[in-house]
Amino acid sequence: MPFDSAPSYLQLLTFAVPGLPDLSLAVSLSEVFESTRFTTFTPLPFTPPAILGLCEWHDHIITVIDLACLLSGDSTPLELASWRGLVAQVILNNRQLDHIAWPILPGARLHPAPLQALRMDLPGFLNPGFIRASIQLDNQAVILLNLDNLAGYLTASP
Amino acid sequence: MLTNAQSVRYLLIEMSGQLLALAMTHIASVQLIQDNLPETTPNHLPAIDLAQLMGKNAAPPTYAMILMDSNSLCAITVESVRPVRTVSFGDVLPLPPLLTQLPFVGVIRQPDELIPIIDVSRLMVSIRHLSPTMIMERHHAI
Repeated sequence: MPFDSAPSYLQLLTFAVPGLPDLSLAVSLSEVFESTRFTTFTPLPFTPPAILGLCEWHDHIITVIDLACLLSGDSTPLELASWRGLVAQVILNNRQLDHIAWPILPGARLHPAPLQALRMDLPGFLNPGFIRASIQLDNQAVILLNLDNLAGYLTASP
Repeated sequence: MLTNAQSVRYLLIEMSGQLLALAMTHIASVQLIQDNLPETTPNHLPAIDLAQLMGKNAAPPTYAMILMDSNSLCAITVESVRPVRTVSFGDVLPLPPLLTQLPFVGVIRQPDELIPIIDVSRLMVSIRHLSPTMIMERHHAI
């Protein structure tokens, strides 16, 4: 029996975030645990601006991040009494797994992306440390994220 | 009713509208800051303004407290304090792995809020490395 061929498409979840409403961001669907509504988050002192704070998710405390601030360096005041967010898994420096959440704007979609999708230039104002690639999907640029560098961001920030 | 074996007691402090918790086992004393305290006494500790340490724009501190850890003492001032809260062990949750390098030992889970618990040991290490400009000018008699 012939082996199944390796998949030639990657399932991406594309979305926009507060602070960068015109930028299409994406993560691999395999990294996403849940899209859910949160009531609030609790700020935590001694954290850099892109860390909004903490929230509770299925009896666990997870980190809430401001993706727009992480990518662009600009903090957007977020008054979120109730927000929809994505919960994703990240791999820390010591190979430990952790979960993070971030607010998203309405309109998240699933996209099958060819593994050899056309690569595009990164917008100059974005931090390349959290980006795997900028690819073309449906005639628009989509920023594919890499959030595994979050631990380095936290330890490097004053 | 929670027994001592099932619960932990925390003093809640408030800074700029946010609550933080300190385990009662680390608190030696809490005093209202009064203007008529003598400037210096033979046994005084320079007090660190916790809000300033955390980079928060809080109201002027109204309470000073001595914290203890092993054989070390330090003094901090805070904006305000709330009543001691008894919390069951099951409502004390760990910080996410991403944030374990921060000076917090965990989070208290309450029905409407999460309250970070200050790691007094690491806080005291941070205070020891502070420049003298972070130390309040008044030496309160604590």
